[in-house]
Amino acid sequence: MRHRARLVRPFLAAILIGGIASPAAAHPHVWVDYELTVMFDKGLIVAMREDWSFDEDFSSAALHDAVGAKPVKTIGPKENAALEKNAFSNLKNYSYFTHVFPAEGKVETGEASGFKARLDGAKLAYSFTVPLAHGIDAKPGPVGIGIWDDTYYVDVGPAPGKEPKLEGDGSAACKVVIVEDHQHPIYFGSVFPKTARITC
Amino acid sequence: MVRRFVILIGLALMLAWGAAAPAQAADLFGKSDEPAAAPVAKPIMLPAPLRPILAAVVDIQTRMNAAMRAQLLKAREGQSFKPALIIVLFAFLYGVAHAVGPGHGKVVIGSYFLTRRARVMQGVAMSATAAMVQALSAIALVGIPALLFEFSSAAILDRAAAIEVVSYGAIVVIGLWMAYGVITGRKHSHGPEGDHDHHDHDHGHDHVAKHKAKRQDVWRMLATGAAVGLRPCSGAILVLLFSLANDIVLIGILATFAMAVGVAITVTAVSLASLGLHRAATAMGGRTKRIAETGYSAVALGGALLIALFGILELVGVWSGALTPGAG
Repeated sequence: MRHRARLVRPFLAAILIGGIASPAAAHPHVWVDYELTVMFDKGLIVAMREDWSFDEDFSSAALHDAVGAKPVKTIGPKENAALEKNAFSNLKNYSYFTHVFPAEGKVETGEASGFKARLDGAKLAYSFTVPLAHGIDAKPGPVGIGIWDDTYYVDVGPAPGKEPKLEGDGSAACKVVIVEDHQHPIYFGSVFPKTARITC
Repeated sequence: MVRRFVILIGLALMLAWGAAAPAQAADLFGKSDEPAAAPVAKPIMLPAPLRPILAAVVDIQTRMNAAMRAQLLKAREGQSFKPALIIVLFAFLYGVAHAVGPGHGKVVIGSYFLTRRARVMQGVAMSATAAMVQALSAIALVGIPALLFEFSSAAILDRAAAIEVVSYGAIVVIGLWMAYGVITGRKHSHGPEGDHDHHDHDHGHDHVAKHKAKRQDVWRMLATGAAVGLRPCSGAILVLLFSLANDIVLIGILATFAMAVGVAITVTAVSLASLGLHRAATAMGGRTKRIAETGYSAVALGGALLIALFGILELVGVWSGALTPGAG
């Protein structure tokens, strides 16, 4: 009996060592640099136009999975449709990682439109527009618009040197800055996502 | 006996492989194709002083990842050996940093060596074998589907995720089993790692088994490695997928092993630190044998329960959506 215990223990230990990978371990796995344009209509924020540039790793994986084994040099309508279907549309369930915080509460986002994929060298890029469920007014208080993945599987951040833009009717009176969002820390509190803060 | 273990491990691996049915399909963003779970009211937070450390590790990893990808793309152009050498070096450094973050068995390996008697070589061997077989299993995980031409990055990451979930279950069971062993008084059979310094007990059995034990050491290490293969290293999977997609498989495999060496160094450091702490504590409290034995049992029980609790937390985390399975 004792003999058996001696053999069992290292075996258990081995499984433990191998098994204990925290799923949160090596996050993030995908990197996105985004450019954000906040769209106004009649003085209200109504949509976000987003341009996401992916790391080369995700780029080759997405093209491989969505389009096929052959190297893809340019993205035509067929590739665009395949990417939208296989490597984009599911993000609707996650609001395209786009979080919108008016002065009070939170506003839901709708289904993205105008999806367009392109290749910048080895990097895949998506552009699309995410509408808001209803227009929001930034006059009563600042509006925060941040793009981040709560699980930090994907590291989403503003592209270096690219300030967010404001566009459309009523945007001229408003200003936007990128700030760290200390209200919504992710990755066990160690990462503060960046948020565009809009004041009018 | 050992052979039975090897078969058992093989079965576990096959199970995990098969279990990766599309039940929990994750896309390339690590997301299932169902509406997002309601946001967790209170996300799990690290103690404040540790947060910047994790943030710094993430930052280093991010930079290394970017640099490694750039070199891999250069290697694809195939001009010289230099990019390949840089990749191997990067992969090694990445392995060291990668294993500092949560995961790679540090909590459990730490708990194990902190609460049990063990030899230094066992700490080194366990950590090193663990890292090496993690690399081998990553190569199998990516290579087998690639050879069968059913290669899809999302499916491969899915499979890795399923293997992870299986292993959390195993951790809970094992933690509880270890605890049961301590409670029912198996503490006197110190296990293969026991220092034989308690000769007031009947240990005649030990001497008979000595030669056998030596041979079993080798087997034990193989079994350790195989069991560790339950959960391949995600960093390696990503490098392999990328190199496969870019037709530079050999460099990917080289980088995978270099990464494993890096991971092994970090995990070994943790196991040796735990082992040292355990010895220091035993040396201090070990004056009276009776107290030492009681203390040893209590500590071992605590360690076993901690391991079980850790497994439960990971499972709850995955199920509640606080943690994303998928190539941790």
